[in-house]
Amino acid sequence: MDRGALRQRIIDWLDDQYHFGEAEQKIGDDDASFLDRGVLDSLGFVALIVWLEDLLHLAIDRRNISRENFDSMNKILDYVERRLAGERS
Amino acid sequence: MGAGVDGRVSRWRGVVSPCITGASAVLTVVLCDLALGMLAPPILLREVDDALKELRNSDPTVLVVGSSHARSFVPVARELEDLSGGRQRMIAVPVEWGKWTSYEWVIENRLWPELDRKGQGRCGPGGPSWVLLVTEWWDSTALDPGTGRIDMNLPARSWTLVHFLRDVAANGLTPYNQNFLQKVWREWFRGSALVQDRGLERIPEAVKDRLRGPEPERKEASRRRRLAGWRQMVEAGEAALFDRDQEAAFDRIVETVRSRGCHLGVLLYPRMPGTLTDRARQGTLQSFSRRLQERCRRQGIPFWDHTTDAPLTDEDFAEDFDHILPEGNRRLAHFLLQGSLRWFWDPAVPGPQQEAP
Amino acid sequence: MSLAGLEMVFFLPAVLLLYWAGPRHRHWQNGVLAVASALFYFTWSPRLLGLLAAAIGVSFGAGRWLQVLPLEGVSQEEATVRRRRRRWIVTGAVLAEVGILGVFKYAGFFTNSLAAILDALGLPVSWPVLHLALPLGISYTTLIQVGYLLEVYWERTPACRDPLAYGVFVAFFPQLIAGPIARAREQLPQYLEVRRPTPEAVATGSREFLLGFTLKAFVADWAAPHLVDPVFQSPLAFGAAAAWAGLLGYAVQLFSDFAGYSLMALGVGRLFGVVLPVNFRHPYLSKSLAEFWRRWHISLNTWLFDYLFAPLTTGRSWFRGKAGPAFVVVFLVSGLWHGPTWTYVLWGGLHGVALWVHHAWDETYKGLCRRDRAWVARRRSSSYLLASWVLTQGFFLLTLIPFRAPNLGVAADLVRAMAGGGSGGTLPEGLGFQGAAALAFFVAWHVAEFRPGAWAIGWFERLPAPVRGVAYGLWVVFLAIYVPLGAATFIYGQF
Repeated sequence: MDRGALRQRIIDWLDDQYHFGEAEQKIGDDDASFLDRGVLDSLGFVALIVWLEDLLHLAIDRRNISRENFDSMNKILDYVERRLAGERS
Repeated sequence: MGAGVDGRVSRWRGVVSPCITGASAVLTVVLCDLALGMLAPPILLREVDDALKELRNSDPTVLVVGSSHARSFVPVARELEDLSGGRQRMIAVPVEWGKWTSYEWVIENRLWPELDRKGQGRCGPGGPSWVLLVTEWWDSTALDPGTGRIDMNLPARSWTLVHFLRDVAANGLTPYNQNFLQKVWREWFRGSALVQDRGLERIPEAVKDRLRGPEPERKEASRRRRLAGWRQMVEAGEAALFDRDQEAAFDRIVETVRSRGCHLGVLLYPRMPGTLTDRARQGTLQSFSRRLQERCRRQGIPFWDHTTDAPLTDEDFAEDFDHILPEGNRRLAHFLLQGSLRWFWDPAVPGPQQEAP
Repeated sequence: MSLAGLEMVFFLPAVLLLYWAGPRHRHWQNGVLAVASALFYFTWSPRLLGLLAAAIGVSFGAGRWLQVLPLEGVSQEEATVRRRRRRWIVTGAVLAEVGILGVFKYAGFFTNSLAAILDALGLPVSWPVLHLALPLGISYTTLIQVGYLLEVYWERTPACRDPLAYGVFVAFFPQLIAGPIARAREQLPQYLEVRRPTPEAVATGSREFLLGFTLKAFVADWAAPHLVDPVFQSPLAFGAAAAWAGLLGYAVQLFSDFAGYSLMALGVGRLFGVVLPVNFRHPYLSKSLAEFWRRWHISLNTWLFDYLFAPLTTGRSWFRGKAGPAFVVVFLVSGLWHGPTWTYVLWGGLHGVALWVHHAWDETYKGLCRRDRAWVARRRSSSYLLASWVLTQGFFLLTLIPFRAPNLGVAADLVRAMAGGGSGGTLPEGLGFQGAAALAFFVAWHVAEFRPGAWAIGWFERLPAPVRGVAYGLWVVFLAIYVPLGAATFIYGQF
């Protein structure tokens, strides 16, 4: 799955779970904080982690679950890309 | 360069503005304190430390130990000194909220050490020859009558810093030893109406009076309510008389006073007539007086019961139903020095019969 | 010692003077804070100071040990060995920390409960009842240290090398009695640097202290004896109105006492140049229970979330992805953490189940939203929001009954009295000026969250400095008149 496709899957998931068609608008900027903009709350992040793990068949190490890795669209995409690249190599 | 100046200006403002706010806050508090002090002047009460200061600078012949009631003996001391031509000098040692355990503590830990320092280890010539214990039924009840709380009882107010630190080291900081801090705090700000009033509510009362007029009806209602509670407390007191710890402390007071070669006398402090129901007179007060009198008789201690016979009316007592106002106090001094205590100054009157100490 | 006690008049200026007048060096600053914190703890329980020191030693040592066993940059086999060893270390250290808490806080509870069960089964036992003094604040220091150990174990934060800084991080005196619960990533770096005083920090700290003191010593300490204590002492003596007033009063008291003390801790922290985490954000404005727990005792609930809820629901166990059951576990733990009694367990259980129910409702509602977007708009309507607020707050209010009642019997009595089954007594005194002022402050505190409140605060901030000073001065005079010396002990101190 390339970056664009994964982004769309995340938007779809956010729409399906929380924002019902308004996720894109809610996110606004791909670098903006999900927490600050109310895209996800702490419960939502946990659900996102579980969903991502199941979707991509990867285990996210607990040490990597942090705001630095997950608190914006670009951070999530960067992290996943890094992980998938690492697994392949 | 402009940015530099701006930076300096904003830094200057950052420091100066909070300072001005703080200074103006402090000034406001001070001014309010002064203004409120005019409405309700702070009352400075005599404490154990004041008595010790006097003891350091004079050679009394009589020490009067008691609760806040001992403050009534300041005018007695004045009159006694006049009547005796300076031969008898009395010092009143008031232990706020004291009971027999507290009096014992003050005698052992504050009075005796001070006398020792002055080289007056024994009573008699040059030092005091009499210790007068001013007491009432309340003093014989447990430190924590029914409430389980001892923080209401304040001998901690007669502590020194060393006593305080020792107690904190043993028990941690407790409501009981915090009373020492309260004393220090009040000493530091003796002139401050706010510090002296905290919790007494004299200031809000004075402000209310000023704003709404004196409101005699509201005051009367509140007085009636409190009076009912006070009467009930006195009536219920009978069951709590002569707590074991207090009784033991009384015996130790007798022992320590005599071991120093001093005479001990016991005097029951007058109670406000309006607070005494028949049940209280015949119950609590009579039981207490009889039992204590019997005890004193056995041990050869002179005993005077002025619970109800002093020439005082309800108007002579303060709003708290407990303490005598200045005018009544002068009358009480006269009454005592012409009656029970006349022998202190009048050689024609024989002293009380008692066993040799 | 308490931040709201008279002793602070002597203690705080002395410590601040030593702290700022001494050398600008972190060891000096941490040394002063360590001694002050030890003294603070000492005045609560002199004999147990050693226990706190031992606990700090264990977690510090375990952290260092984990640090010298990194997983990166070693061979596969070595990593496996290390992984196992790291698990042993963290398990041992966490058990030691929780064990201390367990022995002092829960041993009596569990042995007594076990005895009661055996007794009910017809197997009466008698063993010596444990009467151990609960070291105050240990519930908080335990969570701080366990959090730190897990962070180091998960390699989310490096282990601290400076024992003095670490000790202060765990036991900094403002947070010792009631939190906030410090987190390694935010707090530790602050103690590893030299702190410098700034006028803003002093101004903000003083303001927070004053606000917190007002909430705690004026509002909470008024509500307790006037509304709460009489009603909870003998609920059946009161009529329905008084019983409800007692319960509402307890909600006011609990929030004011706890949020007030936390705010004072924040203020005192700032006076030392330390920023502590915010612990309350107007929980009584929440419109769902999940939101409520994100606003109430934030540092405890984020702790429980990060170290219990998240590992449970993202791990490989049965709980994976199951938020509902995980809520129940987390809140049972939270209830037990609050105190070793069945009323707290009941309280926790009720909240866990309620969060589960709310979660299920949320899922159902999402289904409706997916089908028809009109439901999304409906959820934003003021009537939906109002109903949510009433339900959320009403539920929290009712669960305060077991939380405050000394036992389940009194809790049942209060419920009966609230339904009109009491003997109809009224509260002895009316509100009076002081009560009205206390409640007005409580309401104003919450209104400040809305636009008119924010506007009023902004307007006040723009006033000239001397005028603001006069306002603060009058406020202090007011408190000096109405808050008697030696205010009551702090509720959350018992947890």
